[in-house]
Amino acid sequence: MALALTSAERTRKEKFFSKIICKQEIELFKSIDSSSLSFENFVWLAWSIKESVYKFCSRNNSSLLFSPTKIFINSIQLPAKKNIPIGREMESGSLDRAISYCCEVSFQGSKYFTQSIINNELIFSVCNNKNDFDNICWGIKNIHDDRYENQSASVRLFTLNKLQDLFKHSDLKIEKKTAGYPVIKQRPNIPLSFTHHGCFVGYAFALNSNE
Amino acid sequence: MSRQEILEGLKSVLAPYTMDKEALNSINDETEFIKDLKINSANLIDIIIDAEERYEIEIDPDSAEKIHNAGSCIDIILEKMKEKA
Repeated sequence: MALALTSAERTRKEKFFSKIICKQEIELFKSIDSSSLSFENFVWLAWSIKESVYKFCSRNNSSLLFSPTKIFINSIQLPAKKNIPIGREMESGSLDRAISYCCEVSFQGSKYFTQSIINNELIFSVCNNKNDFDNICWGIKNIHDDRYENQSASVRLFTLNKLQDLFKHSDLKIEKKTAGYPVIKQRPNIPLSFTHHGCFVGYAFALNSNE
Repeated sequence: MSRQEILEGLKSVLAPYTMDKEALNSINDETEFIKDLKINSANLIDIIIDAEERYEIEIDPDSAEKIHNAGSCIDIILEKMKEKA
């Protein structure tokens, strides 16, 4: 998510943040070094984490409703390195733990794990049902035109370039399931997720052990 | 307050969060906030808070999670206004 599109003043209001985080998560924030993470960014980090968990779970349950206060962040581990520089494009085979906020999350009786990166401009999170992100590929790109149609086209092209490079296959196609999530037509078993907000678009997908 | 009156008010609530003014002008009960109005999910909390302020109601998490289109939003607003009356 693009932090420039959020209002720090509004985020600090209890009426606002109480719709994203609960009292226990406020206590969690108080227990960490706040010099590295403002309260507003913590609230949006929580939003990003919870939305990533919702997206992860809704692939198997299309009727699932997104309710941030029903997803709980149990623990948060701060990154060893801060102030990550992000150029126009950033991609990796996996998220580096040294630059990530690592969290354990509970939702509907199950545990999930998330890794997030934050800088002054954006927050980006990925989710898995095990604390292993080695097989998750991700990318973030800064685009000039933030109209919806361009966000959508840009994130598809950005992802296809990565996939075609990875699989040496020039004719891959991305389709959208009626449930709303994208799939790679030729590799439907690879879970793929898109995100876009303002001038940032991003993707994450998990490679199976045999890919 | 009628559904039509709330729908008109909802247009003003939604206007800051959508660039698709054509879709907003033709809004009806079935209009999906994310799919049809291209509203970013990060703005859903803003919409709920703006609706709360406009109609002087409180929308709890159980009700908020049901809001996905104009019709479900109007249902919740009417329900909360009725509870308050």
